[in-house]
Amino acid sequence: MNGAKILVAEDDPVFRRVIVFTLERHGFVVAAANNGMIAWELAQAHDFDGLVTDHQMPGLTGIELLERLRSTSKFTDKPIVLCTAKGLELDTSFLIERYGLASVLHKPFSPQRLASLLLEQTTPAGAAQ
Amino acid sequence: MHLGLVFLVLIVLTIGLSRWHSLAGGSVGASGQSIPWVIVLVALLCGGGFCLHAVHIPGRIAEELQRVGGDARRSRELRPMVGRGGIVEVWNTLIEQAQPNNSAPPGNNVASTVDMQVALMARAMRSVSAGIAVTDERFCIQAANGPLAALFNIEATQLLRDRNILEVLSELTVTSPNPKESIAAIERLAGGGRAITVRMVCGASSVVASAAAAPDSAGPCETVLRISRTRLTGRDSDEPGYAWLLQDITQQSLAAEARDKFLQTATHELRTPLANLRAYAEALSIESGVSLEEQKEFCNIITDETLRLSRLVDHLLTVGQMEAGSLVIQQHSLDPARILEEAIENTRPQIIAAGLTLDTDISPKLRKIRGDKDKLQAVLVNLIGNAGKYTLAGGSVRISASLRGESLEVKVADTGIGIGPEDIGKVFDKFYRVQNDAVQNQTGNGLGLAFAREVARLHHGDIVLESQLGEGSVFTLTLPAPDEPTVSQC
Repeated sequence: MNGAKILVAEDDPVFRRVIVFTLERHGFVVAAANNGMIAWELAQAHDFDGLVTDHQMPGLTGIELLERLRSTSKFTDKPIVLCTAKGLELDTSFLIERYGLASVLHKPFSPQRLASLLLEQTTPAGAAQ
Repeated sequence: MHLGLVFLVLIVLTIGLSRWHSLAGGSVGASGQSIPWVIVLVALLCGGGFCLHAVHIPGRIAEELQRVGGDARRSRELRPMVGRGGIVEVWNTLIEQAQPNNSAPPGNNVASTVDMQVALMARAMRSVSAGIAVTDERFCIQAANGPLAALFNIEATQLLRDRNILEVLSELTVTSPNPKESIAAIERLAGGGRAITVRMVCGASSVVASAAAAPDSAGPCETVLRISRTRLTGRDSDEPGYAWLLQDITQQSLAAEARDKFLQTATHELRTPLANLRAYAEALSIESGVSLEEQKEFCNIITDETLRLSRLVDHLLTVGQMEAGSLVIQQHSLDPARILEEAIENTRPQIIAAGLTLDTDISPKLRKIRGDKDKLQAVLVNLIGNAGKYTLAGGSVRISASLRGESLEVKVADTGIGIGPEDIGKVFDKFYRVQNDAVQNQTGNGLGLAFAREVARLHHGDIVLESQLGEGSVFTLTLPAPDEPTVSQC
């Protein structure tokens, strides 16, 4: 099992449930937050190996959360995946470059793909199980 | 002129000839021989005078025509002639017809029609809501209408004369929300651009009000301006220039912004249930060893999300019709008690499942109303459903209906989480959803109340909300129920 700790920030309860379900089945230890503010508080209080965040959330949006996290030492080099219900109007390459994102996934996306992406990112090179 | 010179030369020659003849012929009988010469001289003088008089009038006409250079539009500079004769009369009549300022002879009203049209056009220029200006080729204002001066916050159009229109526009950008962008747009116009849209702080576009009269109503406000210029057409000899049109398109631009926002939110709302459908279907098909309980839960979620999606599609269609003003309301005679009962029966299972008690108090004396049964029922289901969604287990939902004057009043009251004062005005906005952690698991698309209020208003009624955070909400739907004994069919 992977055992990496992942923080999931997603305001839609139904979608949050299936993301947590899929990641847990891939061996991740998952903590979930229903808005950006709670995610920010959790990220400060605990250590995580990666973050999956929604783009549009109440309280603190995904981008605002990224701004905060990338300016803290704890999260500077951790893999982050941004999930969005926005379409082509989003400048994906700009976001990936600016926040050093592992990927931007457009809804509806495959949770399996998210899980394998995180597996790749959190498994140290040469130590694949 | 030339003719006069010719006659002068002839007279001098004749006199000279007569002198030479008298000298050559000696002095004898000089007086007798000089008589024919005198007669010739007099005849020449008379002929000369007559000829000069005859060419005088055509000469004046030729001079006048040369002065105005044959340009029809300079005809008002032509001068009438004093004198008699057919040519003078014809000339004076022609001038009267060509000059609009002169009163035309009766029966010929060409000049007065032109005059009237010019006056009407001038009135139209003052009345239109767009700023209009004419500049020369270097963009210096030659003429402008009142609304343009008002847009520029300048009291009189004369003050704009000979000022560069682009400079006046640039001065306005100082207070604009994004001066750099506005300046760049104005430079595009100077460069060769035909039309730009620019956001700036302008004066009131409709009325030129004195500052003392109504300082608030006519004060400067942020305006979206569409500025376009067109080259003036005309003959080659005309001064080149441009006609400028400045239109206040603030309202259109706000409507476009609202539409874009609506579309963005709508696509977001559509992708969310789609993402859930895909994710749960994938979880069911790929993951192995999913417990039977979880399988059932996931299947239920898929069903719920499909319903959520189809409800959203229905609502989007309705909202689209609302936006376009094409939502059709049927006009049938309806029994409100029956509609209420059906709506309550539809929502009762949801209320019971949420652990709430449901009370109803429907007056038996309700009058019939005119309206659209399906849409009114959808409104009631929506209001009762909301009460069920946002009330925690153990609470209650109470539905009452009574006659108040000429109106039917339906109240849906709950003991739920309530709505804060800052949200009361917004809950009827499309896609607006109150953020409250107590019910963050409730799904919704933020369209139900927008639809409900629109339907109520199309029935000439309304929906109002009274609520206190933590204590509950009361939605009151009022519909006109006039006392009409003739309405009998259902």
